[in-house]
Amino acid sequence: MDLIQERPSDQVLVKQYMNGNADSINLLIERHKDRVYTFIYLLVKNNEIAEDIFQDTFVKVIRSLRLKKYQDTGKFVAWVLRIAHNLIIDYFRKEKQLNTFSKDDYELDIFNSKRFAEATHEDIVVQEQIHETVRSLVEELPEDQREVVILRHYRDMSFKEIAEYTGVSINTALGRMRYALINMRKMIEERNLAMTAI
Amino acid sequence: MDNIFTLMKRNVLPSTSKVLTVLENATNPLFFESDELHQMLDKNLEPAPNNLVKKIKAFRQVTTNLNLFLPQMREVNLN
Repeated sequence: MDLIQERPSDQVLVKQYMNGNADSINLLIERHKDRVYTFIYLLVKNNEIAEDIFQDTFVKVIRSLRLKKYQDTGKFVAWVLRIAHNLIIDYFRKEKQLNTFSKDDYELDIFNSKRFAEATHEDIVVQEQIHETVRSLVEELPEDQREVVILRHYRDMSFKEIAEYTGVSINTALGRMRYALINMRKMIEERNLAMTAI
Repeated sequence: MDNIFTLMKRNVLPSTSKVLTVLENATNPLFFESDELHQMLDKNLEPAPNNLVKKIKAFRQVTTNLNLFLPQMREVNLN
C-alpha cells in the first residue's frame, strides 16, 4: 500500500485556520515566507525595511483570516503578495512625504529650525533611551493592557479594530488603554524616569 | 520607464517618485500569480529571517516585536 501522504493545499490550510486550527497558519507561513520576503526585499533593497514590511504583511494576513475577510479563490500566495505590495507602496508614500515639504510649510516653520535641523548624536542617543524605556514599561504591563498598547501604538490600529481583534467591547479596550497609561505614568513617576529630551 | 521586473532586478533604487510610479502601475491581480514573478522570486530567493518568522508565529501571544518599531506614544508624556 502506498503510504505517501499528500501535502495539504493552501486552500485546505486556509480553511482549517479559519475554522480554528491555529497550526495551519504556521504551515502556510513556512511554505511561503521566503518568496514573500524575497518579493519585499527586491523592491525595498534594505533588510531592515524588508523585515518590518514582512512582519506587517503576515500580521495583516493573520488578522484578515481571523476576521474572515479573506475570500478564498485558491490563490493564497498571490493575495499575500498583494498585501505586501500595498504595504510597500504605503512605505514609499510615507518616505515621499517625509522628504517633501512645501515652501509654505518651510516659511511657517522657518523660525522653528530645530524641526528641520539634523538630529545631533546626543539627540539620537536620548531618543533611543526614551524608546528603550517605553518598551521596557510596555513589557511590564499586565498582558491585556500590554496587548491594547501594542496594537494601538505599534500597529496603529483603531480602538474599533482592537476591540474586534481582541474580542472585547470598544469601552473595554479604551479602559485597558487608560489603565495602561495610568500604570506607565505611575512607573515613570516612581522611578523618576526622564521621558523628554532636555 | 522601468517596470516592476526591472525595478526588482536593479541593484539600487531609483528616486522614491519613480519607485512609486512603477509600484502603482503594477496593480493587475494577474501579476501576483504570474509564473514570471514566481520564477523570478525563486531564482533570487532571500530566506526570511528565522527569528522574525518565529515572532510572527507567536503573534497571538506577543502580538508584535517591540524592537522593530519606534513608539509614538505621545499620551505617555501628557499630564
